Amino acid sequence: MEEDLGRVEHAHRWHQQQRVAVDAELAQARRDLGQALLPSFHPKAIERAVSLTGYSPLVHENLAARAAAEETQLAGQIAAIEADRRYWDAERDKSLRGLTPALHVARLTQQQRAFDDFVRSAEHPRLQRLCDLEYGTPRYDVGWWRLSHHQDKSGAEEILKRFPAFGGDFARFAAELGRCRAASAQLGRDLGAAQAVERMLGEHERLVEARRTTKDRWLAWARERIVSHVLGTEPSAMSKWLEREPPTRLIFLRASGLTAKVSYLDGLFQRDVGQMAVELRERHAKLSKLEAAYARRPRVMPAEQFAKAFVDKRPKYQARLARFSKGYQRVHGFDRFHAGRGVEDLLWWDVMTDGRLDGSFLPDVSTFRQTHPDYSYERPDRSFFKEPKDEGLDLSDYDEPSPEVLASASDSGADHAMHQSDAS
Amino acid sequence: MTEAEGAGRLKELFEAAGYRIAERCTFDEEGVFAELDGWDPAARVGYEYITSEAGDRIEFTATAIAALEARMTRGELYVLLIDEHDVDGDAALSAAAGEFLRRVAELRGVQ
Repeated sequence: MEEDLGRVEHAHRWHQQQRVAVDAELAQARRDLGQALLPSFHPKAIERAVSLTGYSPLVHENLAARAAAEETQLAGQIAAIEADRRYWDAERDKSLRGLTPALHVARLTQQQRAFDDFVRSAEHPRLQRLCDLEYGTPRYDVGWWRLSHHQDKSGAEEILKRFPAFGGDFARFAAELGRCRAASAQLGRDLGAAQAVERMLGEHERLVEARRTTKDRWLAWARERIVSHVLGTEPSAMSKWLEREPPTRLIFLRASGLTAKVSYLDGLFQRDVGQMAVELRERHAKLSKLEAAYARRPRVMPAEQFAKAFVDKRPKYQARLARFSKGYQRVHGFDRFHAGRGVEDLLWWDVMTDGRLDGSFLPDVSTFRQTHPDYSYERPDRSFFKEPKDEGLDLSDYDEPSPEVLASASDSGADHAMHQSDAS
Repeated sequence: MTEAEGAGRLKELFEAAGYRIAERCTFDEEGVFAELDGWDPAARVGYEYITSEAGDRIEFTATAIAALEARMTRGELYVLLIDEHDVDGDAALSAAAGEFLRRVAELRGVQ
């Protein structure tokens, strides 16, 4: 049984490794699809994306104008920081003296710590009294018959032991301590100011970066939404919609196929290995319990019970693992996503397994069959499996809109902006 | 440390140094009238643990203490004066008493 559990563990690790690789492939495929569907916020690009995918929110959301508005807001925040004298002082210190705000803060912290360390080690509950009574001078007049005299002496000895350089001049010592306390307090104020400048420069950096990437972030956000829409639509329908643009259709088929592949691999693993792992663990626990019971009270186990408990299930498990391996390799090894062009009703499971494996245990496959009761898989013509000719996807018509287009989009809304661009 | 604990500890230390301590002994000399926690009338050595709770500050006024200290300066008597606010433990009290007794022994030796 340990052997079977070992195989299950091995299959689990292997599946995880494969998933990492497939996930990375899928992420890239989604990015490629987003780029292909929405190369920019150019009104023509948005028009094309909507026309290709039917994803109409892009028209109404006026994303270019929103990106431009965010840029304007960021520019205002950046300008507000740059109007602060402290910002330029810090920039000057950085460029002329190599003193970055972080370095400045570190130095001040170090200096303050030095003073604080001295103050902390010099603090003594008797020090102020020794100063007030002018201990160590002829003016100290506490009689030796008083307990306080003895304690003054002990306190003075403790301080002198720590700081022999002061030679018993407690007034000087207290003055030095006061000076250190004041210096530490001043450094604390300087440190607070330096930290505020550090935060301000950090914020400036963040805002500049945010402004630099505004369009990209909005574009990535919009692409992610359109990609989710496209991949959430039934593949056959979307594949047909995209027939007009074969290169984009190929990119879509790859992303769609990889999405299905991830789901199938998980489903296969769960059916053949996940459930087997649960069964094996339950059986292991049951047998351990039985073994412990017989160890506590040795007796002969009835033959029927023994046969039932220790039935050899290895052939069954091996058959399941073999089924897993076969199905998994078939799905995992499939990469001719372009073959999806040749299928009327696109069920990736059948394309990947050539319709030879039963996928009804997979929710996606089961749902597809329910919603397509007349469906039967027909293998695409052999020509569809061949690597298609790279027609290239020319997106040069959809380069970034000019600032004028953006400004007018910002003023009048996306529809108007699109109209203007078309007119120009 | 309570006054009773402190006075008990002092009694032990003073008697170990050879003094015959009478507890709560009335002292009435040269205008100072007070009850000392511990006093050896023959050696004229003792101790007083000054606490507010025991009402010591009524007897041991600044004037009374000044009078006692003037006599100690002249070497006529020696009383270890302990203010409750200065006591922070048995070790410090014992060390102070030891120092006091050593000093008295030295002065008495000189005399």
